[in-house]
Amino acid sequence: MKAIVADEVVGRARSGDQNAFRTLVEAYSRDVFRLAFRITRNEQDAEDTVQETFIRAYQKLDGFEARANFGTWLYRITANSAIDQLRRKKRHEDRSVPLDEVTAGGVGPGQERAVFGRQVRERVESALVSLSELERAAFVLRHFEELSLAEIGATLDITVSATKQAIFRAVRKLRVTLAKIPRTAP
Amino acid sequence: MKHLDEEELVLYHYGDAEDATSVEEHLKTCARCRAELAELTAVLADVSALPAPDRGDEYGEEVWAAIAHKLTPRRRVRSVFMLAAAAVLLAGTFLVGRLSTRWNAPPPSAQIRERILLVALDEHLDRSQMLLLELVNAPESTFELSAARELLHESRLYRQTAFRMGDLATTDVLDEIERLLLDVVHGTTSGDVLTARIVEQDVFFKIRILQTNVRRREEELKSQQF
Ligand SMILES: [Zn+2]
Repeated sequence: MKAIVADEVVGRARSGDQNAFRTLVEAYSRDVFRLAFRITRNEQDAEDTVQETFIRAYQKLDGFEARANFGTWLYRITANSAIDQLRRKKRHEDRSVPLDEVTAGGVGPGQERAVFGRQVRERVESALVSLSELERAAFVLRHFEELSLAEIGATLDITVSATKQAIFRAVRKLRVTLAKIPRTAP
Repeated sequence: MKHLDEEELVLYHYGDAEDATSVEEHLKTCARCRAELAELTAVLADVSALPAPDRGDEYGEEVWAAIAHKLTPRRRVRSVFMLAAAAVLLAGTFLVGRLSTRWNAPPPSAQIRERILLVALDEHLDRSQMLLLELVNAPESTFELSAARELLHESRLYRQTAFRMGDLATTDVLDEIERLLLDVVHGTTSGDVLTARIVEQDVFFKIRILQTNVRRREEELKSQQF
């Protein structure tokens, strides 16, 4: 998390100071949203995840160790809330419809680059959406948030080896979807 | 030499390779693995380029507005029993008759009694703080008078207990809370004036300090018990 808030504020929030907790909400909401969006790939789900994250954080604040890093702790709650959000949604909805491929036909030469960029983005998007919740969360935490494998394991409550496997599967799916060059056998 | 497989390349890409030096040595001599790594890096760069919407500076305030009312005070141990027990054991005499038939267990040790009181007091402070906070945040809002009345009643009980135990610091804070609650219940003082008083007297800060002490003592007793 980028936001850094004084330990003192965290301490006050822990001892029940609502204003201090408000300061934390205001400082971290943007970062929490970004992470929630990267895992859920949907703005509404990300918004819901943000709210759930802070409500959970508030309830669990007593269990937060003063010496731990608040941002890292909040990550954990965010990632897990995002995963829960995806699972809840899956129960209530049909599988989301994959994005349609953009057709390049009828586009002027000046727009080619833009269209190409859009196509790549949409492919990446659909590749990410095709990942399981766990694969997506593990990949996002390693790729975007640069957490260590051990930290990701702790966050998602899985072993380091399971973390690696989730990331491997995520990368493989991304590569297959984006396949620019044929893959070679090991 | 064996080529690097995808997993090794992924680990290397993210700086997680167990033996990065030997990976690098192989890459130096093997064009095929270099190409493989380049392709992997390109794919992951495409992923990085994917934009994530950014919420503006005001987003945090929006989130707070959406969740503030959903936050329930922590440590919600239902206080009626706690309070009654504490009152019976330590302070009150008026509840004894009502509760004595239900209180057949042998009398708890002084330490347990104190802990019960501390937990109840802590929760009382939480709820008082919530109510005062509500008042400060929205001076014109009308909240449940019955809740304020209940808190006032409890606060008085705790103040008397603290006074009897010779804890004057706690007595003072509870006294301040009590007076504020009294004004809230009477409704004679405007919300703005009350808010100004709460801020001026640093009431939230005092409550916090008191709670810190209460919790410290609670931990102390807890550790002594085992
Ligand atoms: Zn090779």
